[in-house]
Amino acid sequence: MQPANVIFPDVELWATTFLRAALAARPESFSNAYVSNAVPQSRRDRMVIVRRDGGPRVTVATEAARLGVRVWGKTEKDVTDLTRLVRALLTNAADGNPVCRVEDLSGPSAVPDESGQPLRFFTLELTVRGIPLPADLEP
Amino acid sequence: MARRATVKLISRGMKLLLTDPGVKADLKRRAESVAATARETAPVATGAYRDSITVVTEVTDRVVARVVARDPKSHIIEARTGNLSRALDSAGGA
Repeated sequence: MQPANVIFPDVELWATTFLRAALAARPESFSNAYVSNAVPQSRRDRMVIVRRDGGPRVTVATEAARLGVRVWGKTEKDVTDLTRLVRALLTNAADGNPVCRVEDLSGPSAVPDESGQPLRFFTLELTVRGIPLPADLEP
Repeated sequence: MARRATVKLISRGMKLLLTDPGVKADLKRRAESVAATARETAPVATGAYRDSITVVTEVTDRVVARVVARDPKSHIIEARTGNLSRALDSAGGA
């Protein structure tokens, strides 16, 4: 039997929108960061780049979305602090709409980057709730 | 009066299940599928990263199958492309 007609949210869009607002609400100087799903042409001192890395449907109404998160900072200390903050914000983001659960897949680790800018990488799995497919996605 | 069902796990039986050769074969088959996808989608410059993707099986308190990339550049490639993570979907469902 085919699954119910459910559509899942754009998880990259959700994550970047959530992080922009959550970082803007923080008082730390290192929370001032560029957030997107792609590295911009003009690099920034601090960047948080979120990428969807697959993940299957789990139930009729939920999917498990894997996210890879890259964080660049000005210095080693700067990037470590920003990464800790971003990870904390994302892992506490589950409110059921649409993210029901967030699990660590791999914690932050330093990755050499050709830019020379300090980089951290970590991965998460988000259990995300879908909605009934509307008659028109562009009402 | 309705009786509540209870589940009692038999530790010895669970241990046998977790180390069962059939479970090991199923895990290995799924891991090989993930590794094959990861090799197909691997970015290739010299081919060293692609060729370093293999499956490792072991038994801890249960059978385990890991898809590993041993090339020194693997972590950089994973951060940049998510190649192994994306390939996980090839493990299939139940």
